[in-house]
Amino acid sequence: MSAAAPPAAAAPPAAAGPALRVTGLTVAYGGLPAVDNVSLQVRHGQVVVLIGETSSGKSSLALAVARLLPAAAAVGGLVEIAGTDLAALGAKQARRQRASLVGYIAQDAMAALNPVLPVGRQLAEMFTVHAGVSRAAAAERAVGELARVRIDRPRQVARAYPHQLSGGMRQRVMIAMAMALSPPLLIADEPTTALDVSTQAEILALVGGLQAETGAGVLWITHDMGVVAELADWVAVMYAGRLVEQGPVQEVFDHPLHPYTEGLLRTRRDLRAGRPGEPLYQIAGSPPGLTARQGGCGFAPRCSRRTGVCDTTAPDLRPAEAAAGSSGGPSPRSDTAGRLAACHHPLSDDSAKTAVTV
Amino acid sequence: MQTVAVRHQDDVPVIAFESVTKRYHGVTALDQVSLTLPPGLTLGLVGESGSGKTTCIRLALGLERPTAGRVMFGGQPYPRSRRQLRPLRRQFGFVLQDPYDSLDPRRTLRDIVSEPLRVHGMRSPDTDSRIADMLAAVGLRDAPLGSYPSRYSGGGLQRIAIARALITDPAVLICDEPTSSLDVSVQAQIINLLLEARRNRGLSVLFVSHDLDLIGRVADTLVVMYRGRVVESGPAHLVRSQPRHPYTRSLHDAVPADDPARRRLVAGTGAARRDDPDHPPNPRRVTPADDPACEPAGRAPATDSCVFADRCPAVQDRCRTQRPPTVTDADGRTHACFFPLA
Repeated sequence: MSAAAPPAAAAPPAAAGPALRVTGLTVAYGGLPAVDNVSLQVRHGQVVVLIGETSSGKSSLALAVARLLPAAAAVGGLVEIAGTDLAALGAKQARRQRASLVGYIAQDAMAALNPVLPVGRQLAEMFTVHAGVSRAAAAERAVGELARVRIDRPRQVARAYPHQLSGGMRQRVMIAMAMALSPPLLIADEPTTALDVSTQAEILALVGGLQAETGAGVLWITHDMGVVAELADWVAVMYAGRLVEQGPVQEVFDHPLHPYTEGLLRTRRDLRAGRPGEPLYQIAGSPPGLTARQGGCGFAPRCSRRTGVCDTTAPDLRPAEAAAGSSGGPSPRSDTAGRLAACHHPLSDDSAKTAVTV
Repeated sequence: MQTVAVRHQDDVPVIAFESVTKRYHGVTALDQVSLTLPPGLTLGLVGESGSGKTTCIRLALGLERPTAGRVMFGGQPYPRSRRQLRPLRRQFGFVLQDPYDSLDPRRTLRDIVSEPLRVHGMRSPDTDSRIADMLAAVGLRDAPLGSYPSRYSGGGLQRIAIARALITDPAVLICDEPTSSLDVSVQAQIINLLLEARRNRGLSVLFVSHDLDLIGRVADTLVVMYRGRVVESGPAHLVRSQPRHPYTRSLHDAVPADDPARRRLVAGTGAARRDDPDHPPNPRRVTPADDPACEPAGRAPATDSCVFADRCPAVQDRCRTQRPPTVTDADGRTHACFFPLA
């Protein structure tokens, strides 16, 4: 190990550029595209929630951004974390820099944590390895980090092994590890999916609070529109490997442009508000696996607005345009941070109120 | 058929737990749990991990026997012997959470769906057409009987599981989180399938879920469980909209908002809210003792206190020293709390 590196700096000021910029990301497994030309940004202090279901590519995207995919996955495009392209660095340098640039919170804490080390030791390692701090000082800091994620008896928990802790407690440890070096970017890959709703509520509140304190940019992956509603400043919707819609969260909820987004929202609202015993609103069909994709729009087989062009030509992600007859639609912008949708027949501001019936 | 007798005895609950306690190696999984499933209705069991709902399922299926109390089926206690249990089991269908786990990947659709018929000696020359009809009923009309599970998505596998559950024309359907592993856009399809099957077949259903919204759409009555005890029960829409137990209320409060304008989980801790006197930061800190899922083996069950005392915002001294009895209100609802919500 080379000489001790100084502790990582806190999140750089907003003027320095986004916490994360992804440009034209592609991920393919054995020639099958899991992520197809995705671009997005996370600004400092911003929470971007990426929502998608099975085979949407959301997890591959998260892993690719954190540079955690094996070499067998063909990754293309550009990923810049606070201006740094990890892929352009040598493997050793990338490993060293990654921990202080991006904190990764996995879905399954048991898989991510070392089962034979007490969690306090694992947390302390972040400081001895990456911050050049002595073991004693690192152990103290580890206790401090556990307290920061609202664990009441941090010393006791620090001595515990992962299997001795509950799922929620383990997730708190993961969050502590991810945030230990104050990275400018946090990636949370469905960290609450396997947790009870009560625990999930606490974890959402915890991360929301910590994020506000530190000003980190957060890319949170989920399949749950509720998490989007609670956490997001900005939402990006993925389907069959592509980004199909993105924008400020309230705007997307009020005026979804893509039929899939509208379907997801409607499913959730109907579940909550519908009458007992009545059939639930449902989107027909199911998400396509990697091998099932053909040309054209990935959502076409399930879409009630589908026409011939949808089957032959995949729609580009375009700035939202006011459809004919609607007023006050969002003005088109060409930068990738704008309100975008990939659809040949997007829901206009007017027709967004009309039910998409399936 | 035997099932007819069960379906039409309107007064007799299909399934009843009478003060059931179940202990495993010193850990109390169920603590004096009572519940009833009236014929033709759906009983929803709501609980998180450690609540005991899975143990209830196992007892309801006759896979285990209670340590104390009685589990009744159609007014009779469950038989003790395996031989006597078997004809009873024909009247149950079950759909479990993980379709990838519950279907044998080495067996064909035909084998999987016909298995209950085989087990109960119900096969006949028209079994194949019966299977085909059932698959059509669950939305897999042209699925080849010789196909294997690997060909199907999660939703498709649950459809197969439902076909298998219904093939013996059971009186009772037991569902343990049947859609929790599925994509959101597929969940509704499966629930609609279950609703339709229930309607067409007059099924009595025991439905376990952690999803309060979902269970509100599916269940007639609701039983809320926490750490092995029933904390509240009653008509589903009332328990959800006017909870009497603080735990039920906390479950309700924990559900994420359906619109950013109504978010409430994160707002209280955001920096923007710091100075807002109406939204003090959430001070709750967790200890290993708080999490019901990590009850250490050998720890004595809290017999002399309310099981929710550690986490209850309205806890008082009495809650820590006495176990609240289950009270039946005038309207038939029950709760186990010294200080129920108004």
